[in-house]
Amino acid sequence: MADPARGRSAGVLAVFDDRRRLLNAIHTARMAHIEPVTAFAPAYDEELVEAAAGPSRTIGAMALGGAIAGCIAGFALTIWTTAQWPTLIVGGKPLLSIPPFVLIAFETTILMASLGAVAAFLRRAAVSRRDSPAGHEPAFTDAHFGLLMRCDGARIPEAIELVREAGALQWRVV
Amino acid sequence: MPGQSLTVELHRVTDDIFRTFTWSRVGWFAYWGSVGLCGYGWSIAGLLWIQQIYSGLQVTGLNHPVMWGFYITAFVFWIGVAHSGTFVSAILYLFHARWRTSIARAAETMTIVAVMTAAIFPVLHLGRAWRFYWLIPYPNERGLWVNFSSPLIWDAFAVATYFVASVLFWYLSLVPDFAVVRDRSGGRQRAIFRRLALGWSGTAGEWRGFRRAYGILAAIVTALVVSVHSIVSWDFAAAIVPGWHSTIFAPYFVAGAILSGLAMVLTLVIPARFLLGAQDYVTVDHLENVGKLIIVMSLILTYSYVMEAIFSVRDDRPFTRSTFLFRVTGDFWPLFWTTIACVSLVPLSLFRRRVRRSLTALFCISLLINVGMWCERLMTIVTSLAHDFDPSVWGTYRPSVFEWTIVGGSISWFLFWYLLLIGHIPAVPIAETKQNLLESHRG
Repeated sequence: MADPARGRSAGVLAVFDDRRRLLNAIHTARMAHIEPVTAFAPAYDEELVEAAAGPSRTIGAMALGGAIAGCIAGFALTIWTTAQWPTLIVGGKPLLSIPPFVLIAFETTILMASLGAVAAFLRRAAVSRRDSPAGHEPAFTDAHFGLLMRCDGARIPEAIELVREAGALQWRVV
Repeated sequence: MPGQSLTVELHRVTDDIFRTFTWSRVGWFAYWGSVGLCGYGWSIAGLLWIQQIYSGLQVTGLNHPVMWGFYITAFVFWIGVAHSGTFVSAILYLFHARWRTSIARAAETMTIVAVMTAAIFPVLHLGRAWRFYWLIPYPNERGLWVNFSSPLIWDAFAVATYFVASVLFWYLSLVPDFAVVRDRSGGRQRAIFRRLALGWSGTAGEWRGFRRAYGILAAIVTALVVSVHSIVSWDFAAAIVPGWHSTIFAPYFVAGAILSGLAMVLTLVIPARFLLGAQDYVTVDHLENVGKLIIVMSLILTYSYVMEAIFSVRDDRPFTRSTFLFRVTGDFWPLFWTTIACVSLVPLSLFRRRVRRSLTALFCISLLINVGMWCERLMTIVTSLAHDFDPSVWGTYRPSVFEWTIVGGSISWFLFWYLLLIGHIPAVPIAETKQNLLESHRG
C-alpha cells in the first residue's frame, strides 16, 4: 500500500452504494484535476462507462480484421486445394467453382471474426486490469459501485475528502 | 438512502442466483442421480455402437434405396434444436427483448450441448467410424480429393463454426458471472472460478469491452442461425431427389429449427425453474412469450407445408407429385399426419392465453412439438429416398433396435451434458439481470 506521507504517486479507492453519487464523484474529481482511473460496477451501466472508460475501437477493428483474414483463408483453402488436381473430372461442373466456395469462405469469415472479437475483449480486459491493479473489491461484483482515482501522495487527503463528501461508504488508499 | 434499495435488490439477485447452484442434500442426490441415470442411458447406446462398428451398418435398417435414416434424422433434429438457443440469446438480444435474460443461459447451454449431440451422428453413420477425420476438410495431402462443392463439406465447416462461435458467445456472457461466484465462494470452488473469470473485476473498461464484444458476437451468431440450417437443408435440396430439390427448403428448415428449439427450451426450463428454485427470475410471463414465438414459427411452418403441397400437386413432373402423395398416404403416412397434428394444429391452442400461462399445458405442447419435428425430419429424409424416380428401386425403411437405442441414447447424452453444465454455472445470467435492474431504476 502506498504511503501518502512519502509523496509517491498513489490513489484512493472508494466504495459507493449509489451510482448517482459515483457519477457525481467522477465529475467533481475531474473538476479538481484528480484523474479517475476507472469506475467499478456490478453490471453494465451506460452512463458510468461513458464517464469512466476510454473509447474502444479495438474490438470492432479486430473482429473486422479477423473477418477479412477468415474470408481470405476460406477462398485460399478451397482454391489452392482444388488447384492441386487440375485434371480431375467432376461431372462436367467447373473444378474451380466460386459459388460453393463462397459458403466455405463465409463460414471461415464468421469463425475468424468471432475469434478476433473475443481475443480483443481479452486483451482489453487485461489492459484494464493492468491499469487498476489494486482496485478490485468483491463488493463490486455483488451490489456496490467503486471509483479508483490516481493522484500525488500529497493530494490524497483532498481525494479522500472528495469521495467522503460525494457520499462514499468507505475508502482506502491504494 | 436512495441507493440502498438498489443495492439491496442487486444483492438479492446475487444471492438468489447463487443459490440455484448450491444444492441441498436431497437436491444433490436428485441432481447426481439424474446425471448418473443419463450417463447409464448413453453408456448402453455406446455399447450398441461398439457392436455396430464390429458388425457393420448391416445391423441398422439402412438399405438401398433408403441409405439415410434415423442417424441423419437425429443429426438434423439436434442441429435444429441448437438453433433456438442462439435465436433466444442473440437475435432477441439485438432486438433488446429484456425478457430473454431469464432463459438466455439455459438456451445458450442447450445450443452447445445440442451441437455436441448432433456432431456425433455423422460419425455414427459411418461404417468405418475411425475415419471420421476424412469429414474434416484439409488441403489435399492424402489424395482424398475433398469436394468443396459438396454440401457435406459445407456442413463440416458450418457445424464446426457454429460450435466454436456458440461456445465463445456462451463463455463471454459467463465471464462476469464467474467473477461473482469467485468472489462469493471459497476453497477449490474459488480457485476454479478464479481461473474461469479471467481476472474480471468489473471496471468500466471491462464493461465497455464486454458490451462491444457481446454485441459483435450476437450479430455474428445471428448470421449463423440462418446460414447453418440453410446449409443443412442443402444436404437435401442440392440433390435432384423428388421431395428434396426445392428452393423453399432453407427458410423451411430454419423456421423448423427455431420451432423445435423453442419447444426444447420450454421442455428444459419448465422443470429446471422448479428444481433450481428460479421461479422469481424465470416467470410465467417469460414462458408465455416463448409460447407466442412458438405460434409464429408454427404458422410459418404450416405455410411452408401448404406451399410444398401446392408446388408438388401442381408440378408438371409426376415424380414430385408422386412422392408427396406417398408421404400423405404411403408406408409412412403416420409420420406425415403426426407432423401436421403436432407442428401445425397443437400449437394453435397457444392462441388461448389460459393455455399459454399453464405450465403443464406448455410442457406437454413442447413435448408434442418435438415429437412432431422429429417425425417431420424423418418423413422428409426417408420418404424421398424410398420413393425415388424409378419404381423398380422403390423401397421402405424400418429402423432396427440399434438405431432406436442409439437415438434414444442421444437424448440421455444431451441431458447428461446439459445437467452437468447447467448445474455448475449460474443458470440465470447474473450480470444481465442486474443490468436490467439498473436500467429500470434509471427509468
